[in-house]
Parts: sequence; C-alpha cells; structure tokens
Amino acid sequence: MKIAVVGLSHHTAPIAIREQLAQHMREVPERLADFRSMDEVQEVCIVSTCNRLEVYVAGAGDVTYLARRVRAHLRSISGLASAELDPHLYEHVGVAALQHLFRVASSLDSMVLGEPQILGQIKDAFRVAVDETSIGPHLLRSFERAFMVAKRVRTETGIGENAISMSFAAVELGRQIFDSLVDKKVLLVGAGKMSTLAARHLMAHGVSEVRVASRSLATAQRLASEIGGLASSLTDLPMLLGSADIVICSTAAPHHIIDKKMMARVLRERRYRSILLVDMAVPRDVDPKVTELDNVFVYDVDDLQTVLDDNRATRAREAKAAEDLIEQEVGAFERWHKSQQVVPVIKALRQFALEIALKESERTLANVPSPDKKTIQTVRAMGQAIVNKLLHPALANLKAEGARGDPEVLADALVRLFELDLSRGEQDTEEGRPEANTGEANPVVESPPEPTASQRMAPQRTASEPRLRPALGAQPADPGASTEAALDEDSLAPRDEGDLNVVPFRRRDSSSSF
Amino acid sequence: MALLLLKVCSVFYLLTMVVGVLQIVWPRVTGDRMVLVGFVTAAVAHVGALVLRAIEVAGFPMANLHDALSLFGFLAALITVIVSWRLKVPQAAAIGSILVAALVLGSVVIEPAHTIPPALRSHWLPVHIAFAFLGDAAFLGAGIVSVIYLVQDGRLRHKRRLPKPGTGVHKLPPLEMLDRASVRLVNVGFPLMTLGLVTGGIYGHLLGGTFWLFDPRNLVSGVVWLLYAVLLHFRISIGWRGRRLAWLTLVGVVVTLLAFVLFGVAGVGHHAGGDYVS
Repeated sequence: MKIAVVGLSHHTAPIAIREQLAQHMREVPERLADFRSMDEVQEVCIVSTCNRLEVYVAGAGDVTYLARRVRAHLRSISGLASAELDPHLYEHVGVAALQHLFRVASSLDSMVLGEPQILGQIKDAFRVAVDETSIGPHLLRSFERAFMVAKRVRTETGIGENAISMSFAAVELGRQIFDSLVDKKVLLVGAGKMSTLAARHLMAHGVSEVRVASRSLATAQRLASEIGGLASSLTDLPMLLGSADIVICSTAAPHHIIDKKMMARVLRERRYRSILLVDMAVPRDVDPKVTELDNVFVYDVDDLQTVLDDNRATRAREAKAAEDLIEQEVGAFERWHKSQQVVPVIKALRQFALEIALKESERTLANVPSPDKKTIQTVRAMGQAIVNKLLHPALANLKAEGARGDPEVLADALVRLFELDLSRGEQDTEEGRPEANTGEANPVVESPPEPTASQRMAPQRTASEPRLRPALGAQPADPGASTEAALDEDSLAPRDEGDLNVVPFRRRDSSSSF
Repeated sequence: MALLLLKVCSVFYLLTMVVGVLQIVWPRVTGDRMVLVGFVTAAVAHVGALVLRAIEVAGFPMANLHDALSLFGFLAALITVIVSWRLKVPQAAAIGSILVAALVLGSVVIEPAHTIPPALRSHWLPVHIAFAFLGDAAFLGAGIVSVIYLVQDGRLRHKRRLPKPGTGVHKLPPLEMLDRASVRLVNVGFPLMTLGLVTGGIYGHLLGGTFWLFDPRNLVSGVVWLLYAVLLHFRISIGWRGRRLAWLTLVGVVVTLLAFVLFGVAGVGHHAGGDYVS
C-alpha cells in the first residue's frame, strides 16, 4: 500500500505544539498544494482538528522515504526545530497507516473515545482535498473504506453509545459549579460543530437561554435558528460575557479573543458570579492567563481530557471489540488491495480480447447486406459474450491468486502467452476514461461507469449538514446513509470485472465538475 | 457523673472522627451515614452530660474552660450535623468531627470547677454566652463550608477528574451552593456575634463599670467582628464571592477558635474563666 501518514495528536503533543502547527496549517488548500509540489507526493489529505493534525499522503516511491519527506516539510512549515517537533510526530506507512486512519475515523484514537465528531471532521478534510484535486485512487479507496469502517464500528459496537463527548463535559463541569443548570445562560462563541453539540446537551439539561455569537451575524443567526437560540455579533462579546454563565468557545480565530483584562472587567460587572469557559478551539480562544482570576473556570481541550479520563477505562471492552473489527477490516482491505495488483494484466487481457471481438464482429457485419439495428446489436453482443465467457475462469483464477498475494507467476504467463502490452492500460488510466457516450466507437466500455470522486461528493456538499449527521449515526433506515453505503459498496467491494475500471480521479484539467 | 458521661461522649466523637477521616481517605470503604449517626448519638449523650453538669453546679454550667469547651464542642457538633445534612456533604461531618473531638477532649482533660465563681452567677452570663457561642458556631459552620469550597474550587482550578461512581473521587456540592451556604451562615453569625459583644459589654459594665475592657480576648473579637463586617460589606456592595471570601471566612474562624482556646488555656485576661473580677 502506497500510503503514509505523518502527524501529531493529543496523545503525542501538548496543546502549545499543536496550536503552533495548526496555526501554520490554517490555509489547507495552499498547504495541500505545497505538499503536492513535492516530487514524491501524488496524493495528499490534511486532517486538522482540535486534537490532531495529520497529513495522509500517497506516492509512487518508497513510502518510508515519503513519510520522511513529509516530516521534513512539516518541520519547515512550522518553523520548529527538529528537536522540538520530532518527538511529538508519529508516522505510519502502508498497512499501519491504513489501520491508523481506520482507528481515527472510528474515534478509537479520539480524546474522548467514541465521540461522534471526528468522522465528520475527516469527511470535511477529505472533501477539501477532493476539491483541491489532491485525492487519487489510493487515498480515495482508503478514506472511503475508513468511512465505511467507522460506520460499522458505530453500529456494531457499543463505543458510540452514551459517548460522553467533550461537549457533554460542559454539562458535567457546569454541575460542579452551578446549583442547577435550569436558570443558566449559555453563550456559544463561534459556530463550530462541537459547540453546537455542547449547546444541545446543555439545552437537554434545561438551560434557560442559548445565545450564539459569531463574527458574522448571518452565521450566528443560522446556527441560532437551528438550535433554537438567540444570535449576537461578536463585537458585543464583553456584554454577552457579563450575562452568560457557561461559555463555549470554538472560533477559528488565530489569536485569543478573551483575555485577562477583558475578563476582569466582565467579572466586576457580573459581580463576581462564577463563569465556566469551555475552550474547544485550537488555537485557543481564551488566554491561559484568564485562569488566574477567581471565579473563572477555564477548560481547554487538554483539560477536558484530564477531567474525563476515567471514561476510557469503562469503555475499554467496547474499544476492544472495535479494535478487532478494524483489524478484520484492515486485513480484508489488504487482501483486496493485493488482488488489485493484477488489475493491469486483467485490463490488458480484456482489452486485447474485446478489440478482436469488435474487429471480427464489424467484419462479420460488413458481410451482411444492409443489416438492421437489431442484427448489429446481436452480433456485437455475441462477440462480447464470447470474450466474457472465455476469459472468465482465467480471470477468476488470476484474481484469486492476487488475493492470496502471489499473482506474479500467472500474470507473467498471461502477459507472455498473449503478448500483452501493459503500458496501454496504464496510459488509459492516466489520460482519463473514454466518455461513455462514445460507446459506439468504444465498445470496450462494458460496465456502468463508477461515479467519479466529484460526483460522489457532490450531493454531500450541497446538503452536508442534514446528510452528515444521520450518516454518522448510521441509521439503516435513513435513505441518505443507505445511498452512501451503496456508493461505498459500489466503489470498494471487491466485485467482478466491472470494478476493474480504474477511474481517473486526478483530473486537474476539468474545471466544470469540481 | 457528668464528667463520666462527657468521657463516654468524647469516645463517641473520637470514633466518629476516625470513621470520618477514613471516609475522606477511602471514600468507598465506609458508608456516608456512619459519621452522621455517630455524631447524633454522641450529641444526644452530650446533651445529657451538659444537663447533669448544670444540675451538679446548680446553675448555668460555665465555671471555667472545661465547661466552655464542652458547650462549644456541643454547638460545633450541632452545626456540623446541620451543615453536612443540609448540603448532603458527608465530608463536612468528617472535617467537623476532628474539631469537635479536639474540643471535647480538651474539655475532658481540664479539671472541672466544683462551684461557679460568684462573678459568673449573673443572668447576663447565659445570654452573653448564648449569643457569642452561637455566633462562633455559625462562623465555624461557615469555616467548614469554606474549606469544602476551597477544595472544590482547587479541584476545578487544577482540572482534577470529575467525580464518578466507583472511581474514589468525592462528589462535592457545586460551588454556587457552597458559596451561598457560607454566606448564609456568616449572615446568621454576624448579628449573633454583634449581640454577643453588646451583651458582653453590658455584663462587663454591670461587673466592672466599663463597657469595653482591653483584654486580648476582646481585642480579637473586635478584630474578627470588623473582618466579618468588611466581608459582608463587600459582598453586598460589589458582590465579592468565591475563593477570596472563603479564605477570609476561614481566617476569621481560625482566629476565633485560637483565641478561644489559647487565651482560655493560658488564663490571660478577664475572659479566663473563673477569675473575671480579680
């Protein structure tokens, strides 16, 4: 497998380092272009969340070398010395990278085990990479498989059930400070997904008011109407802090938006009533100095991990089940991937045979005086049917051998026996697939085209909010989720010949579809 | 007889203290109720001891420091039970039990006086003592609540684990509730203390012709009274609360207790029971 991942997470790096790196990786499209400009890198996807920053790459050469290059690049971007950054970075290559991706997507590597947000965050990251045409066949397959595995983990293990996410921590902490949450006011600063979830938890516990403050009033209003709260502009922040009891920050601001001076003034105004600040943003929204003030309780993402630590132990059993499932999936994917090594041979063989069939059927048709439409179709279909039937056992055996991971002897024999030209198939992949409507001239196309990356992502992008959430919960009854599952199946399941048409994912020239 | 019962009492208080301390160290080993049950049992016996002592001396039993510690110990036990029961925080009882055990043990150790000195045979004495001791007991309650407040505050400040069943982490009441309880107790204690000072002044005037004697005990009381006055003032005017308030409350309580015991034991000044008029 030609993929590698280099990154850091809450497991390996303190928040200060994460912040620093996150800061430099803010412009994801530009960073993607940065990585793509490296010779070794063909595909790249950057996953950047509160708790982790990971660069997934795929390339032609040696993956270990690839990982090393990515590491060096990260260092140069962050401006950190290697001694500062390297101890916090981890890297996985090949199957290990795939397993890591599966684990992260399934929320097994999350700060709060089983929290549901991470899958959406990875999907978002993947979408950005698709938009930037940074995704090719390797990452596409890996990520889509990861999404499917995550869904399986969620439905088949108990890990997602009563997942006390970080958003729920706000409720727990609120209970430590406030008598009752019923008469309390909640302020969301920034309209992040995490803060929305936190607000929902708090509303379920009966808080009297939820107010959303965002830089743009429109965003605030949209979120406020979604969760049934009030909207405000961020310019009124000091005033809003004066009346709020629980504040949840998740802005993308690169600097602190609540500092000690502001908070001290706010405290005087609010007559020193206690206030809980949950800072889910990275870089942090709340200046760490604010903690020095009395009656102000500030929790950043690291702190939340500390206070929630014990949940991990109680859910270790479910985690084990999930790990087993992932192990299984990694194995299946690996076997399927190996079987894909024989794809070029199979393609070449089919193409060779189909070309003969086409030529011969055209010649036959030329001898028929004024053939009608039905005759033409019948003759062509016969040609194709003969090819399919004739090749079926050979191809099935080749694929079986491929799945066992040792297809070279058979593949080599086929190439020599039929004098196959493998470079033709490769060329086809790189230049792009023949358009389906030219089928008359190109009868080689014998199966419905696999949806391209852009087609696959398009419906999700237009209706991302309502679609993603049910998909995360993996309700089988949900049409959106099942369509998605069907798409996953289409693109990933090791099927018969139809699957073997490799789609050109990296279409830098096409502007219309992206 | 009264002394014997008081000794029995002190044993009960000691046992309660042991259970209470065990409970703080290993929250899962002992039940929450044991401390409270022990306290109530001991306090009931303590009432008996106080009544017997009153019969023994044929008057309000306040002959010397023995009686003072015994009575204050009883009031401290009472306020501890009330606080820990109302706030549903058994740790309060555990903290209180240490203080109560110390007070009652002190009382047992000190030889009781056989008769009440003539200067203390006044109707003003029970009135003055009632106000002063009840005020001090309320402050003591506020002090215990403040300790729990500071623990809870520190826990949140230092991002300790959230309490969960089975993890051995104590569940403490929310800060807001502790803050309110502490202020309520100070609100009760302050007027009582004021009345204690006033009645003390009247009593002193009747005895020695002056309302205010500059003995160390009086000075400390005055300072503590001022401290609480300032504390309440800022609470009402600008809304002071939280950690700072808890520390100030605690300082007041510790100073009061120290003054109570030290000056009593050292026999300094006019409050050193028994020789007020000397």
